[in-house]
Amino acid sequence: MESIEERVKKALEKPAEYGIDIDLSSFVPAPINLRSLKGIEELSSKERKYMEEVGFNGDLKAGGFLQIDQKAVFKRFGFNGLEIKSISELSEEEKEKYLWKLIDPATDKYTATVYFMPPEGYFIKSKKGAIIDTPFQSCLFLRSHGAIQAPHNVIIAEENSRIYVVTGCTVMPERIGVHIGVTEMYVKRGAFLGFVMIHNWRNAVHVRPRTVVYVEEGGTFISHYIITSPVPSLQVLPKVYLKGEGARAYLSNVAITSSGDLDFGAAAFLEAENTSVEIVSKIFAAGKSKIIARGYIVSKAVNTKGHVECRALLKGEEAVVQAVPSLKSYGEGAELTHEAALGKIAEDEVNYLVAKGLSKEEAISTLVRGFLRVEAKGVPSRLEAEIRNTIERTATSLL
Amino acid sequence: MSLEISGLFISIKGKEILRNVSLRTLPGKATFLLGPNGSGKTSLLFGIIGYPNVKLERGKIILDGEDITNLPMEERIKKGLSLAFQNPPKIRGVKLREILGKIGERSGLTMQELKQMAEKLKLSQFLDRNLFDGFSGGEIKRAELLLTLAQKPKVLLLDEPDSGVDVESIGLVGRAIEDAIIEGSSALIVTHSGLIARYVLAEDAYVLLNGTIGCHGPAEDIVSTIHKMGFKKCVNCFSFRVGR
Repeated sequence: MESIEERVKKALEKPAEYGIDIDLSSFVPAPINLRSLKGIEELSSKERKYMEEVGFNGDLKAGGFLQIDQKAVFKRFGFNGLEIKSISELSEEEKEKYLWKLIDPATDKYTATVYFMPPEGYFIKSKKGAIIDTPFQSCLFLRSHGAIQAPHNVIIAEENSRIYVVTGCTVMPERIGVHIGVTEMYVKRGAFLGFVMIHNWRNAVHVRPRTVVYVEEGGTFISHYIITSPVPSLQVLPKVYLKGEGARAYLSNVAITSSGDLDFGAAAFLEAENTSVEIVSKIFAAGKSKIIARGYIVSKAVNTKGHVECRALLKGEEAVVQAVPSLKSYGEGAELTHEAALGKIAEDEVNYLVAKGLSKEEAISTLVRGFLRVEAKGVPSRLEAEIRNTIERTATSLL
Repeated sequence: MSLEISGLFISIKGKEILRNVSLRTLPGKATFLLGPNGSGKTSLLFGIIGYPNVKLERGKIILDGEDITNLPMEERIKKGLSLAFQNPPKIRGVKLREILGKIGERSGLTMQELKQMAEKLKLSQFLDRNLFDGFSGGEIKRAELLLTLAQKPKVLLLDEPDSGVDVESIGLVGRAIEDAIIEGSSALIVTHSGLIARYVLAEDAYVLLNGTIGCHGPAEDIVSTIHKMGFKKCVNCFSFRVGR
C-alpha cells in the first residue's frame, strides 16, 4: 500500500482544481533561521507600517503572533482563556492530533508543498466557555525575495467559547514569492469564531491559501476576507462544513484590485438539520484584473438555508469579472438562493452627486466606497471599524 | 439673486425637447413652472444646471448677471445653482449624513447647523440610513430638499417637490422653501399639480406646453385657472393664440 509520503510526493505535480497553475520550481522555501523577537518594536518602522496596513497594529491585548518567512519570530500571550503556540513548538503527539485532519495534504501541489516544508504557523485554542471579545492578532510576513512561505495554522474554538482572530498577510515591497497557507479550524459545540483575514501582497506574490472549517452543533463561524492589493494570481476557496444541528456561517469576501488573476470565494456544506450559511462577495475590479467569484452551497440535510450573493463594480474596458454560484440540494429540505449583479459605476448616481456639489472624482470615490462598505456582521465594533477603514483606504488608493 | 433664461433650445439624444424658452426668477421670490406630463419641465431644469446629455442648442442662461450658458454642471453648481431632483437615485452604502457633511464642507455649514436643518425637516433619524434607500415618498422629498438647501444656493430649482407626498411632508417642505426664499434665494418650482401653491407664495408662474412657454402671468391667476380647468384650458388658449 502506498504510504502517505509517497501519495503527497506525487501530488507535488498536481495542479489545483481552480486557478492558474504556478511553477513552484522557480521559488525556494522561505528561510527558517531568523532570530526571535522580544517585541514587535524591534522591527523596522517600515516593516511595522506594512504590518499595520493589514491590521497587525501592535494592540496585542488578546495576544499576538508574527511569522516572518517560515519562522514564528514573536508571540505574546493575552488572556488565560487562549492557548497560543507556534506549530513548530507542538509535540509530535499534538502534531499527530491536530495537523492534516481536515485537509488532505495530497489535495494539490500547494498542500503537498506545505506538507514537506518545515512546519510553522500558529496554533490557537480557546478554553471551554472562554469569552474573549478582543481579537487575537497575527501576521504572516514574507520578507525574502523569491521565497515560498507556507504557514500551517490551526484554530480551535472550544465548546461555548467566543474568540476572534485577525490575520494580516503581507510582503516587503519589491519581493516576489508564493504564499500558501493551510488553515484548519474547529468551531466546537455552541462556540463562536470570528475570523478576519486581510491580504496585501503588493502585486508580487502568488497566493494559494487552503482552508477548511468544521462547525459543530450550535456553533457559529464568521469570516471576513479582504484583498486590498493586486496580486499576480490568487486562488482560494475555503470550505466550511456545518456538521452539527443549528450550526451557521457567514462568509464575506471583498476584493479590490486593478490587476491580476483572482479566483476566490467560499464553499459551504450543510450537513446537519437547521444549519445555515450566507456567502457574500463584493468586488471592485479595475485595470486588467480578471476575477472569478465562486459561491458554492451543498445541502445534505433538512431545514437548511443558504444564500450566495455576488456584486461587482467594473471600471474600464479591460477588467473581467465572472460570478459562479452553485447550489445543490440532496432532497427537499433546503432553501437555497443566489443573486449576482455585475455592472459599472452608475452614471446617474455620479451626476446626482456632482449636482450636489461634489467633484466628479469625489463622487466616484464616494460611490465605490459605499458599494464596498460591508456590514461586518458578527465582529466587535472596533474590528468592524477597522475592516471598514481598510476597505475605504484601499478603494481610495485605487481611484 | 436672479436667474434669466432667454430663447433656450434644448435637445436630448438629438431630439428637440424645448423650443425658445424664456423665463426669469426674481430675487427673494418663488416662480412656478407648471405643465402637463411630458411638456419638458424636468428637461428644462436639467438644461439649466448643465446636466450631462442635455444639450443646449441655442439661448442664454444668466445667473445674477453672469452668463453661465457654456459652463459645465460642476461650475454652475459652484456659482449658486442647485436642483432638488424629482426622483433622486437610491445610493447603497452611502449615508445621508456623509453626503450632507460633504455638502456642508463646501457651503460652510457646520455639522451642528446641518443637524438643525435635518431636525426642521424631521430627518434626524434618517441621517445614518443609506441615501433614499427604503425612504417613503415624503421622506425622499424632505431628504432631497435638505441636501439641496445645505448647498446654500442662490437659485433653487425644485422639481415637483409636491408629488407623491403626504400632507405632513408637504407642509414641512413648503415651510423650508419659504425660509430659504426669505433668506434671499430665488426659487423656480416645477409643479404638475400646483399643490405647493398652498404652502409657498409665488409672484409669477409660467406654463410649459409641448416644449415651449405657453403662458406667463401672476401665479395666483394661473394656478387657480389650472386647478379649476386643468391644462386643457391652457392648451386650447395657447392653440388659439398660436393659430391667431
